[in-house]
Amino acid sequence: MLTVVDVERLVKDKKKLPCEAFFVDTNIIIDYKDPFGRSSFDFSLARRNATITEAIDKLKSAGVRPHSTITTAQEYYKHIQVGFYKLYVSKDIEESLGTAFDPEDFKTKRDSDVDFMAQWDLQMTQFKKTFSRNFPLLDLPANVHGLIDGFKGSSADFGDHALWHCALSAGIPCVFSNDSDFLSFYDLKYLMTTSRKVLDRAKDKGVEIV
Amino acid sequence: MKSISVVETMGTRELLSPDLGHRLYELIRDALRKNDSVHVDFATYEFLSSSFLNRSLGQISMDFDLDQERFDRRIQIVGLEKDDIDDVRLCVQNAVMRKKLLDKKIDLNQYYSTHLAH
Repeated sequence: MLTVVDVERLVKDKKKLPCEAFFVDTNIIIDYKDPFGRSSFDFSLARRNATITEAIDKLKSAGVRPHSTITTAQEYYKHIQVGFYKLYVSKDIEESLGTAFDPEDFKTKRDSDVDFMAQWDLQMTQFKKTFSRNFPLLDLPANVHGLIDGFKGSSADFGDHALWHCALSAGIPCVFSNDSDFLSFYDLKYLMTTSRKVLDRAKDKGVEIV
Repeated sequence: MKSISVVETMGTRELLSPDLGHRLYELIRDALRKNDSVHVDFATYEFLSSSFLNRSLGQISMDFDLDQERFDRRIQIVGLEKDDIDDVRLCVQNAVMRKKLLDKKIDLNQYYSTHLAH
């Protein structure tokens, strides 16, 4: 039976999380790290960033372990790669709103553009820290066939499915996400969220909220 | 040189909210208008968010047109853990990128929503 944890309220009330560890979804990592500094002008993201940082850092201080998976790392890497490239090339073109990701140009710049290399190196330092210190990776489950066979494609993205599969395989049925798709994952025990939309949907579905 | 004790001035060891970041921004801005450089001491802080850094040091980088070299010359950061120093460097790097977009009259909200959505 799924229980949704209102993380903001949990931290505010200084309550204990009902599990010792949890997995984080990519959307939480993006809001926590804010890799392109969007929180400087996007007040909605700035509030989310502060709330999520407070929750995760205080839970860690209390001994709760946040984890991630290789699929989450891959999704986050792609987000950084595409976003960083687009931001970088935007300075050289007149009509930046039409910039598309060019994988070949990315490789060229990564290998020979000194300024690009220095900035990319800083992004990669942060990337490695994210999955070694902030949200340490746990191994993929041995049953990778089960991972593929169980994927339907109609109710959730593969990344979410893989995260759920890893969480259950690791014996940590608790995921921190602001994606309401996780409300439909059976066998997940706790869905932690800061999203009002997810909390409202959970209420509509009659899911217990703590 | 003007010195700012962040924890003492903010009245908390939890440097999380963007509003607190904006308060630090105002203090550094005022100090840089009167001095060549400012000493910013984070000693005894407990938590630090990206939004706090972006609304304080990131905004300062943009307003005073400070790339990393100029930033280091004018703002001396002490009392941060190494990981958080890397966060400051990324914050400055991102601010420099944002400044270039703004100089080209690009709407940041529209640009980020279109190209950096997740």
